[in-house]
Amino acid sequence: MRRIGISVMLVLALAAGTASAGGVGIGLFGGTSIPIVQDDNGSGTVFGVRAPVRLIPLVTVEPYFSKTAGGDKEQDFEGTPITYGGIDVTGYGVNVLLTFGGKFQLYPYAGIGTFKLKREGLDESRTGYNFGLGLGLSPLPKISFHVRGELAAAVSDETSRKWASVTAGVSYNFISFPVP
Amino acid sequence: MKKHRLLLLGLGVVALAALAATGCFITSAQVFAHFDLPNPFTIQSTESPFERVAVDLNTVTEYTDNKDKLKGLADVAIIGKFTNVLGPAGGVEVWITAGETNYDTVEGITTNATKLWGPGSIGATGAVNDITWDESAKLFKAAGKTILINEVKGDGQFTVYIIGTAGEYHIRVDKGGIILVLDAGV
Repeated sequence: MRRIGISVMLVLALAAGTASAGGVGIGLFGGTSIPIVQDDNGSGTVFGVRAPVRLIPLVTVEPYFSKTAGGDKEQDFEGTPITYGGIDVTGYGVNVLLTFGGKFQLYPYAGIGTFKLKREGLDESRTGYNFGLGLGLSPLPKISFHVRGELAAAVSDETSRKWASVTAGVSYNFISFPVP
Repeated sequence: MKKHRLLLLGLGVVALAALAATGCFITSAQVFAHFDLPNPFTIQSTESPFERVAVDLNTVTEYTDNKDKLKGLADVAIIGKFTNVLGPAGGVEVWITAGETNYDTVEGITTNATKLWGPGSIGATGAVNDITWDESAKLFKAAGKTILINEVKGDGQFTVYIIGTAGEYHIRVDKGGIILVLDAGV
């Protein structure tokens, strides 16, 4: 409890002492998605759009939309290969990023959303949780490039499907303003 | 910098704790298991119009390995190579009952059991249909699937009956099986 209190105070202290630019942006990203302990689903591709909104120092709120095309997975049955169609996932939600740095940024983040899982015989929506770590580089004032590693889970009752993903993207900050 | 590291550590711990609070983030997996149907078997409208299979999933290693941590059934398919030995185009259906039953007529099956799957279509004499996962997945019926899920989560014992839908049929099934994707703890 004491450590949490100290962490909160540190955040507030850093926020109070930081003068930085806020803004609203739009970004595109793409990468690869790897199912974790899913015997019936293969690796695939993921792409999507994000809209980072930074109103206070350190914290960025980021609505997102993503689409993952699952890869086919083959299993052997009596010497005959069986191909499972990959699971496609459409997700939308919001991430909260704790952003450190200036032109070079490091940001852990976590998010919550809705994941719609779809393949033949499967069509369901689940609550999605994700967290990860991102690196950002901003060579120009309004442009930044990002690389992220993320773990995500689509949860239903007592079970979940999980993925790891690595993505790269670019963001354009179309509104900028100073924040205290 | 030290403060930043502390913050990072704190955020990571909080995020993991929140995700672990769902009770399943780390602790579930989708595990492949299959039950083999007799290979081959034949259904013939005049002599042996159905195949009865008493399924005991406790004979399946992947099932018994995960039974105590089983949380559900993520997906299921019935597969096999269906050959129409003699007869018009038609289909194959699979019916299910909980536990072990022993109906001895097609009428008894369709009256007392629940349709699980089908019809998997097959052409006239000589036609072959090697049922794929995608084709199979869309042939499941909700009521039968509910029974199957309950049995998988229960004692793992149920009975399936495979019948033909054409008036006259003679169909051979090779390498038939019930494929299960178990939602299990790890």
